[in-house]
Order: sequence, then C-alpha cells, then structure tokens
Amino acid sequence: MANVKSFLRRLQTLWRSEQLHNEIAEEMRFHIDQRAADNIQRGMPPAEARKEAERRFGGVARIQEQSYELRSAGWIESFVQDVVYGSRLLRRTPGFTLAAVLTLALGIGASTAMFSILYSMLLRPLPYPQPEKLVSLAEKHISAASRGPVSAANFYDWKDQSRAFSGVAAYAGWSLNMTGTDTPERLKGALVSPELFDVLGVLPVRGRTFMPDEDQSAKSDVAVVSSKLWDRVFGPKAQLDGQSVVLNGTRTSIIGIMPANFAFPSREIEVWVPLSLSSQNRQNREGKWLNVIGRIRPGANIAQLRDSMNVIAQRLQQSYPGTNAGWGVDVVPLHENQTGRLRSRILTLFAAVTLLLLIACSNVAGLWLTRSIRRRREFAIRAAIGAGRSRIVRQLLTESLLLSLAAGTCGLALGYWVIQIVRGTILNTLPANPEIVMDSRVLAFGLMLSLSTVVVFGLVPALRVSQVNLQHSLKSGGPGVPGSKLTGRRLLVVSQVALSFVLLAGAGLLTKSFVRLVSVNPGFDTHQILTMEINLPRARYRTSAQHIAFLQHVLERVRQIPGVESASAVSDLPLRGNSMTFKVLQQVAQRTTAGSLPDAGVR
Amino acid sequence: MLVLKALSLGPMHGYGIGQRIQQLAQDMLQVEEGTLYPALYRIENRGWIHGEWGISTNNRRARFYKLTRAGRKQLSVEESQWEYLSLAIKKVMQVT
Repeated sequence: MANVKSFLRRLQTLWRSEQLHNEIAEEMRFHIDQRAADNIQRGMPPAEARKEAERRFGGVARIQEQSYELRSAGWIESFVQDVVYGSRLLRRTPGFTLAAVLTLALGIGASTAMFSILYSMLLRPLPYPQPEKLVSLAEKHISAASRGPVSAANFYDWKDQSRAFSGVAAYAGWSLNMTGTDTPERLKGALVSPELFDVLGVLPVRGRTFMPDEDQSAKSDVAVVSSKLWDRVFGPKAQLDGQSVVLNGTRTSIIGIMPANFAFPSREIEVWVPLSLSSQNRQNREGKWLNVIGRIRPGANIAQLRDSMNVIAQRLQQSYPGTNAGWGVDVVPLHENQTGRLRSRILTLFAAVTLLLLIACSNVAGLWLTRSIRRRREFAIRAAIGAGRSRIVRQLLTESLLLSLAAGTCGLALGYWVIQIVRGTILNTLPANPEIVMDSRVLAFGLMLSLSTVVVFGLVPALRVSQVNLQHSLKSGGPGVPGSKLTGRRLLVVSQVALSFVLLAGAGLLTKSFVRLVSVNPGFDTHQILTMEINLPRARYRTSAQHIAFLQHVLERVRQIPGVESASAVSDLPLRGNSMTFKVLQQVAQRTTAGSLPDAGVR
Repeated sequence: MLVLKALSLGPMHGYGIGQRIQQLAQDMLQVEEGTLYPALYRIENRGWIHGEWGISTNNRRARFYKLTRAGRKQLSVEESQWEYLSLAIKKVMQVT
C-alpha cells in the first residue's frame, strides 16, 4: 500500500520535474548553510566555514542527480519522453509508418481472426456441464473408412443393454412447417429422443423438456422451442401456458423454451420434437439415420465404454447376422466429432497465418533496421553526451511498441471484419456451425501478438544499432555506413525468403486441392440447373399417391414457366443432403438371401 | 535503522537528522553528509518516513521528515533483528 502511494507520488512528478529539481537543490542548500552557520558559531571565519561545510557534504551535483532519480518517476518519465519523441518521429515519416503499420496489421489481423476461429472450434469446451463425459456413437462397417448414422433398432438395443452410460439419446434433423401463427414459417428442427436434454445436462429457461413417455405417438404432440423462435412468434413476455402452434399439420403444445445459447445439434435448430417411432420403425435395423450421443457414467471412462459397446455390437451381430454382420460401434468424444474433419484444416490455416505474420515481422524488421542505421549519428551523439546503451535500446523499443500497438489496433479491426465475412459465408456450410466471437480471450491474444512482434522486429535492430562506434559514426559525415557486421541482416533475408517459400508452397497445395475439389466431375452437368426444397406435411399428404399427385402438379406448373426447359423431383439431391444407408433391392430372377444384398449409401 | 531511530525522537529536517545521528553515536560515525539525502528518499519511497516542507527554527524553509506508522513498525522489526544478530556475533566472538 505504502509502495503504491509512493509510486503515485512519484508519478505526479512527471508534470513538475523542474519544481522537483529546485526542491532537492533547496533542501541541500539548507543543509550546507546550516552547517556553515554552526561552523561560524564555533569560531571559524565565514569563508572557511562555508568551504568546510561543502567538503563535509560531498559532491553536490552527483548527489542531486542521484536524488532526482529516486524521487522522480524514473523509467516512466523517460518512457513518456520516448513516446512523445517516437510518435513525433513516426509522424514525420508517414510513408514508412504507414507501410510498417499496414504490413503488421495484415499479419496481426489474419492471425487474430484465425485464432478466434481456432479457439471457438477446437479449444473452447462444449457449453454443457462436464463436456468431457459426452461421446458421439456411430455405426461403422469393418470395410468402411468413415462412421455413419445408427439404425433405430440398434439405438434402442444399445440404450437397453449398455451399463456404461448415465444416458443415451438419439437425434436427427427434421424440417417442419409451422402454421397456426401470424406468419407460416419453415423451421429447421430436430427429432430427439426424450433423454437428449438430460444427456446434455441443459435445463430450459422456462417450462420443461420431454417426459420419458412422450415418445409414444399418443403423447408426442409437444415441442420445445428456442428462445429466438419464442420471441419471434409470441414475444418475450408471453405466457408459456397453453401456447401451441401447428407443426407439419399437427397441433402441438409448446412445453419449454431453451436458453438463447443452446445450439444442439447446430445453431439453426429452432424447435425440438420427440422422436416418436411406430413399433415397426423401432425394429428397423436397415435404415440408418439416427445420430447418437451418450454421457459416460460417473467413474467410467471412454475406454471402458468402448469395450462394453464392442461386446454389445458383437452380440447384435450374432443375433441379427442378416442386418448387423460386420457392423461395429465407433465411440469418439463429442467435441472431437463436431470438429473432427475440420481440425487439421484449421490447424494448417493457423500455421499459415502465423507464417504470414512472421514474414510481415521480418519485412518490418528490415525497414526498421534501415531506418535505424540512418539514425546512427543521432545515437552516436546521444551516446557521446552520456546515454547508456540500454537507454538507446529502450528508446528504439518504445518506438517499435508504438508502431506495433497502432498495427495491433488496425489488425483487430481487420480481424473483426474478416470474422464477420467468415461467419456469413464459410461457416454456414459447416455442420456444427459454432458461434464465433471476438471475446476478451481473442483480444488478449491480439494484444499479446502485437507485443511479441515488438520483440521479433524491434529487438534485433535495436541491439544492432546501439553498438555504436562513437568515433566512426561521428566522423563520417552522412548517415553512418554499416560496418562489416551484416550477419543479422543476412539472417533476416534468409529467413524471410525461407518463410515466403514455405507459405507459397503451402498456399499452392491448398489451392490445388481446392481446385481439384471443385472440379470433381460429379457425373452430370450442373450448369443451368436451379434447385429448391419442399416438404409436405404428413398430416395432409398421408399416402405416396398424394405426394406424387402434388409433385406432378407442381412440376407441370414449373415447366410452364418461360425459360424452364425441364423440371424434375427427387427425394435427395445427388451428392448432398442427409447421409443414410439402406438396402438396395435387386430385381433378379433368383431371390437372394437378405444378407447378401448390397448396401447403398446416400450422402 | 539509524535514520528511523533518529526520527523516533520526533520530526526533523535532513540536517537535524545528521546531527542527531552524530550525537547519538557520540561522533564515532563520520560519513559524507550529502549521502544522507538519497538514503532519505529511498526510505521515503518505501513509505517508512514522510517528508513535508515546514519552517526551521531560524525561519527558513526546510523539509521535515516524520516517522510513519509503517516506519515505526519497521524500526521495531529492525531493532529486534539487530539485537539478535549482535547477540549471535557476540557469542561467536566469545568462543575464541
């Protein structure tokens, strides 16, 4: 506390340094006068009394200087001087300043934006209690490289047989038409087994979530909605009791509202309805379409869970060889599953922008070095009138700090802008689509980055230039010619070229794979083709015949639109949509046994 | 410690502190008097003494120092440490 007070007192001296000098001088003059007076009193002649007093006091100038250091704000004072001086210098060379700030800002902006993506997608834990206990379960055929969704019958068997879970739940994306409100809307929703919210450990902000028996078809006319949907349709203040909407033609009561940040399985989901299957659908082991998550029982770990799931999968293979032969269970942490495929790509991009920042730093370091070498004479003069090497280094570093903080500010603004763009475009195509924000952590990262750039681009030139050869620098009339010590600059150039090559190669490879990706021949011509989606409520269109009649009607009308050459309808567009697996029935003369029917995967 | 001890007798300006220390030590300690001031400022920065401008007995402006509460506490700490140390040294010296 006392130290803080004394620090604040010393800080005040920043604005009254002259007064402080005077005070110290006065205090010492008083001392010497007093001693001289005492000497006279003891009988010394006045001239000798004064001399004796001065001798006993010691070197006045030295002691005053030392005292000033102690009572003034010390390094803060010199820092303020450096900031004022440095900003003046930077303003005087706007071209250099602008180039350096922009170069660094690009590097910092890209890195910060990438970091916030990296943080949001890979580092930030899932927003559920004990997220490390959450796993994703999937079916995987021994011959397949990737995991896939789960059939309803297998899900219910896993749920009944496994003891390593405290809860298992299934969900699947589901589009719904909402009517019975002011404006009909098409909603993205999810079919979820009633346990889903318990497994995630999330409570609604109002109302309740599903009861275990609400997956029975008689009781399943209930829905949980997102805060966003509730506010949009009923307004934030509306009473929850008795509110209902018509979803896909069925009047459905709204029983609960989820918190605004709840986004499972993704952020677009606005309504959750019970996964209510007929007993026939429950026993279907062939149609694989459910996503399954589970929460590991307290005390158990993921390895134990895998073991127990393998046992269950083997048992199912033996009991149902026709449908389950070769199908195992794949268990991975939920977090990993949500980001899995993107992980390496994000890390690659992050490495690339870090390289970019390093290149920016080395560019600025080059500029900085040239500029510092031009100022050699200035430093030599400073050194000649008594500035220590550390003082000169400090001054140069302060100037770099100014530059990098300016660049950091521009960089953060740039990063913010990049994130907005990324959020609007690329992220919408991702399955998990997490919220990406610039929070305090990202800002701290940006600040840290700016500060570390000072070390990278500022320290080396500062140390190099401050090794002033007084005689040499002062003698040569113009800006000092750098001597033989070029190692630092050679190193700079070499590393710059090397980094650029790495980045160039990396960028080339990325572009190449991207070009390959977009130029994959899907086997059909996608030019001049438009697509749209419709979903017919089952309540009004119960039979396939009704569906077909509706579609034929629509298609006929579409074909009449001028400019339309042809129109057609399909359940899932090629190469997109939900992935699911089902058996292909071959029309062959000889009936094959069910087990040897080939599987078709639709993605 | 000497400065704190001298100030424990009451507030005093720099010259007076020097005189007091010399009196207390009965002229056994002789130092460059000027070096007292950096020492005073250092102690002041630690918050053990507090300096303020006042008027001396011969009607001149002088900076008076007084012991703060933290300084009083520090003095007692240093006194007991000093006693302990000198006792230890004495014991060692008695061995031979």
